[in-house]
Amino acid sequence: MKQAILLFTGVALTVLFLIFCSPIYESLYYSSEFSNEMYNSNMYFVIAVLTVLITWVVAGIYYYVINSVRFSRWYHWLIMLAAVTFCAPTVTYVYPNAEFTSQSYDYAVELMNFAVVNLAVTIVMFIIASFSIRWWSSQCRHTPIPQ
Amino acid sequence: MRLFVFAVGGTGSRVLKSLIMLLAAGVRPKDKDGNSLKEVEIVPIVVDPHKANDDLKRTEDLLKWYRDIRQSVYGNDHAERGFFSVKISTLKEIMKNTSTSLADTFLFNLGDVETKKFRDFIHFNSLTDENHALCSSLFSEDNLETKMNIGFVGSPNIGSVALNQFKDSAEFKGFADIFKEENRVFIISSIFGGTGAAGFPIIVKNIRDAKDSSAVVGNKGTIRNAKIGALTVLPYFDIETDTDSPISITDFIVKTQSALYYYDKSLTGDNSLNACYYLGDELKSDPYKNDPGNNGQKNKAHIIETIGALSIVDFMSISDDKLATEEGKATTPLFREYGLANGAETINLMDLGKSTRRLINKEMVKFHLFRLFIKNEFENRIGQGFTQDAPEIKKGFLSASFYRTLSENFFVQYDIWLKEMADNRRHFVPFKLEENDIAKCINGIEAKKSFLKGAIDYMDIFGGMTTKSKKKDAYSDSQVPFKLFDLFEQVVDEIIDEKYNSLT
Repeated sequence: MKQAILLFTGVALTVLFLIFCSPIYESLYYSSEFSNEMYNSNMYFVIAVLTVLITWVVAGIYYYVINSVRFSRWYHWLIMLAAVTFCAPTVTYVYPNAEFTSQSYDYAVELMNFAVVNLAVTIVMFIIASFSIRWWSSQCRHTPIPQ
Repeated sequence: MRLFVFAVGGTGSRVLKSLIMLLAAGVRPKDKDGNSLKEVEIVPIVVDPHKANDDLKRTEDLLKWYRDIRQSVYGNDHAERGFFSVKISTLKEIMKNTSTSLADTFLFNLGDVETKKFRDFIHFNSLTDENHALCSSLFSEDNLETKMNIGFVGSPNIGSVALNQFKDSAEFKGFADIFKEENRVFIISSIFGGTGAAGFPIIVKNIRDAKDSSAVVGNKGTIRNAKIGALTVLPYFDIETDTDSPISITDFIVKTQSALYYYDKSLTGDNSLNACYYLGDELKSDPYKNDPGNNGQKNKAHIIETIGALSIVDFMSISDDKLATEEGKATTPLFREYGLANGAETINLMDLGKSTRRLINKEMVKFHLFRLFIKNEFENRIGQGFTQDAPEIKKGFLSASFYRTLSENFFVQYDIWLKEMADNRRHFVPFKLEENDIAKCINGIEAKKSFLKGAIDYMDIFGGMTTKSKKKDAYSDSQVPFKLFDLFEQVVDEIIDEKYNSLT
């Protein structure tokens, strides 16, 4: 029951994040021209979807594909977190940068700042994903902290 | 089924020690369909006046440890399978501790025998002239001067007199009171020494003659018709030549012949036994130290003792209808011997006959893997995987009496037992004793390799245990030791079936 509640909560938080991604991102980092462009090109939503996808998929891979006691210490989970915090901001930098570059905009500095912000979002999202799905893992359900 | 096991003399203790190891490994008697018997209880009674005998002391320690470990894992309940699953109790325990004259021990109290010289025991100096002359012709001066607290030093003529007080002991009376028709008796003894050769016929005689015994108050008919099995161990080890010692290798065969002749007339020949197991080995061990008893008598474990222990398991597996007894006589007595599939000087599990392989190989391998797992892996894994599932196994578990008894006492003796059997001749070397790699530790067979995963390692076991442990509420808070045993066995059962399927 507890596990189901945590899964439901995790999914709900994720959906809320997707719905309110623009105000959330803008409350964390705002630069009027850059933010307007991000908003107008629906980039916040794309980045939010990418972040959610990457964190949940990596968490799923860790708990259900790797799923090994050989890799079930808390520091193994931290390795996955490190990987995800590298991947997600990188993707969320590279993709809008390519889009903006094609439109001859130069938001390199703003995007870098935004990527740092999204790094924090990624960490939170990976924690949410982990605590939503880990309970049914046969080998890693106690990672990063015991049930 | 409740089985009273009388282990007589040094060989009795050593066979009992091997039986404890097999039971610890989970070896159990099976019915004719091959299913494990469910409610099995063994009540060992060690009969040996030589209380300082190291073989006896080691066996007594093992019995206590086994009982403590079992109590922690299963409580007082019967268990149908698993390590330490067969219940072992003292006579006092099964009498619900009602007897005030019995100590809570596995040792038979032989009273005066353990404290006196044989001369004093038979009041030699106060005998009439006629009896004096008779005793002088039956017993040598050395016999008369024997201090019986070191046993009967290979002299069954002393033992047959001294042990006659068996029937008057509190232990025998307690046994007679508690014995029920569905219970059985098994007697372990050697035929070429003193205590065993003398004690075996006396025990049988007192059971079969219970009808006329003043020591047995009630229950006379039940006792008299008890289903009795016996292991008679023929010479299987050599001893150093020592002209000052009363024990000599050259006497072994003569004593064996004499005893067999006597047994033929009054034990086996008159159907007193329901099942008799003969066991010996023509290939003699490296000579043991010639110790009549003064120095503690500590003999190395031998495969014969392990095979001897299997006779007890075999006896329990025989159905009641084949052990019928009428008027104190077995209607269809059974006589059994044993042969190896491969009689080499060094043997392993694969050299045992098929029925033995089916009976013990899987259990012995499981237990050995468990020993290695506890020694090399378990402690490092606390705080991970299944140890974090409720009921949790925390670091404090390592200092609990259950775990310490298992790892610091029982397993130490287990290692010694294996080493002694390997060093002894015939060498029984089921496992590579220095090998900690579980894929390579079994002699004569290696774990099969999978295409992707290779052979097995500790993490396969630990991971498997973690997967099995996922089921909620499988164990209560008081079942932490059981959880460890049960998960390990579930996983290793599957691993053995997959990786060592030629083992049995």
